[in-house]
Amino acid sequence: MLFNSLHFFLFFPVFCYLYFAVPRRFQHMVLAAGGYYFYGSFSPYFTIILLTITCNDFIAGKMMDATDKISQKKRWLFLSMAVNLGILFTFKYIDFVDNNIRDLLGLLHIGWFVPEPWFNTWVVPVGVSFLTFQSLSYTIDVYKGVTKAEQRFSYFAAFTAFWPVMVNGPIERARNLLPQLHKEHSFDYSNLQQGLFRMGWGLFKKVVIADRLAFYVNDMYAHYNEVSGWTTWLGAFFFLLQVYCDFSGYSDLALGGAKVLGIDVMENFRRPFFSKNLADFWTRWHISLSTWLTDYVFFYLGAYKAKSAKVVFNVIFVLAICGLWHGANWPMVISFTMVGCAMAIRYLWQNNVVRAIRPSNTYKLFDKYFPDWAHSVVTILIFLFCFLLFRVYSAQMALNAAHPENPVSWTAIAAPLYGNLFKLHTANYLTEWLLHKGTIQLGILVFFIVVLFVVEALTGDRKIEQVVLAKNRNFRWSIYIVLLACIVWFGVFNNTTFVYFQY
Amino acid sequence: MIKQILYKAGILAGIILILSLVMKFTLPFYWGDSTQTVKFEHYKKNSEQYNAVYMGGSLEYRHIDPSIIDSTLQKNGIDFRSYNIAVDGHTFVEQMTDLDEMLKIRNPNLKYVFISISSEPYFFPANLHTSKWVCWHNATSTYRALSIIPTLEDDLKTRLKFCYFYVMSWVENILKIGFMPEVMQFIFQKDTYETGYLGNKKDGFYPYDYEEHRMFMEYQWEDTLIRQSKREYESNAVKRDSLTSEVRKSFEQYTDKDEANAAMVKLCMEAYNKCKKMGIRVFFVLPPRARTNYSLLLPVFHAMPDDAKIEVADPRKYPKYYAVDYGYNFHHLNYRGAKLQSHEMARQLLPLLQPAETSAP
Repeated sequence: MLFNSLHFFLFFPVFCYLYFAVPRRFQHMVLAAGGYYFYGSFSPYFTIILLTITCNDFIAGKMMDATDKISQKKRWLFLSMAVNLGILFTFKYIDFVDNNIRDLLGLLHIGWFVPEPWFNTWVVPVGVSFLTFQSLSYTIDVYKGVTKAEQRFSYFAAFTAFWPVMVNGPIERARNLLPQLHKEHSFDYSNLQQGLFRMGWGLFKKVVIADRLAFYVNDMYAHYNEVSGWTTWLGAFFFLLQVYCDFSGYSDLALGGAKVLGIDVMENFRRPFFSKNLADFWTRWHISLSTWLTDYVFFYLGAYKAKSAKVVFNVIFVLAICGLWHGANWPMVISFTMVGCAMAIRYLWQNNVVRAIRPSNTYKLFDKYFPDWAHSVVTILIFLFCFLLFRVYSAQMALNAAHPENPVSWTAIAAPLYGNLFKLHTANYLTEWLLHKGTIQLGILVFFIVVLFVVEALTGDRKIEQVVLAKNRNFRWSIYIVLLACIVWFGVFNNTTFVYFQY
Repeated sequence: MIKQILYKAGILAGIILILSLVMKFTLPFYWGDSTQTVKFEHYKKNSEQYNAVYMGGSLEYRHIDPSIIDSTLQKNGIDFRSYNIAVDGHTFVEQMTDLDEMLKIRNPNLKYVFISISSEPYFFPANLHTSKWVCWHNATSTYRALSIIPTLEDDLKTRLKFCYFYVMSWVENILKIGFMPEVMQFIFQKDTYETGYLGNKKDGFYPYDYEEHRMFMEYQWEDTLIRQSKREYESNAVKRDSLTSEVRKSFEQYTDKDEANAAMVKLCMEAYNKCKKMGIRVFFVLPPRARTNYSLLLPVFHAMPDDAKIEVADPRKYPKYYAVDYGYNFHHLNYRGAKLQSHEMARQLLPLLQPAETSAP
């Protein structure tokens, strides 16, 4: 059940009615049941995985709580991690690992004992990376003593099966969500207004902007050989914007849905296109994942407290893990590793050069004539460069599915793309690409992108729903009507898959 | 509280509905289909040039060459000037909408209308949510589809699914869900639509052979579906033969006692009588290579008045229509086949029209 499907539009009001109609003490059970129905709608088999994760982490949490011995706690934590990561590995990474071993041994002319990769036809359960990471954070937190172990299974089941966030994030923490699930929630009109508006805004970003951008991004990658120079840069920008609108749109839908139920979920995006540097970008983009990796991997590795070389390694390693989390393929891993390298270079620059020249007039002049927006532009350009690779694997899959007789490797796509990127005196294929859907589609796209940036600039770091709801009634209703009309009339409804669902 | 929420949601939905309806009443029914726009706009401008119109889907658009039929009949002293208004993808139901709309266009010369009996109201689900498909559906067409589909013999799930598809398409058309770009394109760029859809002689006939060499309908850099379908047709002899033998079997097994689908017959006769009242003579055509099983089509066709039937589908009588040399793909003729069919239609029309023409003062 996708958030932009008719199924969801029927499910949501029925669910809300049941949620508020049952006695308050049973609300969490309705949440759990709704979550299983929601997840089972993708495939009933997926609920077995959900139940396995839930039982495993609930037991592990309880057992860790029951003992004071660190060794025993460690044992239970290890079990929890083994099961969670085992599920993730089995469904998502086993084929990737097998292929790599096969390729490596092939180079050395050694046979591989696994005869047929029977597992490469397994369907990856929707949002399994989100599910396992969310559940894993609970057991780690219980182990560290940050969170108390949940004593009642029904509440824990509601936590793991909290449907607004379960398949596409934000990766919510137990310390934030579980206490809210224990509270009784009565219907609140203000929550409904805020939640529905936020959902509307998310749907607008998803169906009006992201899915329209998909026309252009798909076409650009399909013609990777023909695009060059500015066409490639613009295509990369469109792709970054598509991922942003798609994913942040989904997060808005999740946040809005949770808000209607009276539950506050963490923000996942904070205007990343306004970030001033790479580190800042990372604190604004997919915040729930970046903080998860920071809390559970980066800090574990020593964060910034180690020597320079170790810090550089930590940064690159965490970003590589991030890439692997996003997709079991090399382009994704390399794409994020490139971001990590850029962040490491920035760290070295700040730590060595900037610190040394900061008191000088040169630095002050530089600071004066290099305003915030210029920092943002440079940051975005670096991300564009790295993220160009992000989409290469799916482009390869699409091309090979369309032309199985003439398969291409991901390197055969990436090489011309990056090669042509630097031909800045060219913009091959630009007109054909931009106009292949007609001038009207392009005009609509540009108009709504401008609307998005203007709205983000005007709202700042405040929540959009709070900004709108603070206005007078006429203004509010005008916004409601315009937003609804834009979604209904300008939405793209025949491209119904969320980009992040593959993760 | 629930009342208040429903009231406010109702106001919002009502405003959107009113705005959508305003838009609907200012647009012609073919706003989402460039082919139909070009063909209907051409007919609107030149309606009085024609006294005969062919309705239908691709089996008519790609098969019936008006110039052949016109010249054959004119040589025999019959004033016959025809136009092919058929559009790809139209089923039995959509052509009735076309007929309603075509009859609204003033043409005092219109004497003959050809209706195709070539499909039940099923369609490719891939067409769903496309502006072309959605724009064809209004309350009447949805009612017509819903009156036929439950009477078909397919399983309940299939029938329910297609009923749902028709209702959804109608709702999408009312609210123009996701179609504002197409509406804007119609309003601002209608005059720039490709007129190649009209065919080489501007009579609405355009065989696939021509389109293959002038691909204005598809992106030029992509291999087209048309070419793919041709390649598959040429290479897959087993499927070709099995389709033909299925058609032959339907014809062989047909008897006068076979019961016709009452809903389809009713719809045809409504169209027949409506035209008759306007002084227009209707001919029902049973074309070759239909996707729909002929065991459904044949009884409906034979339930039509005797002087209103043109049959060009029987593989026993017309084996060439099913021969690989005359086919473009599994369900369409190439230009050679289209010429054959058009000649045959003219041959069958001649005796049907001559008495009426010669008896005229």
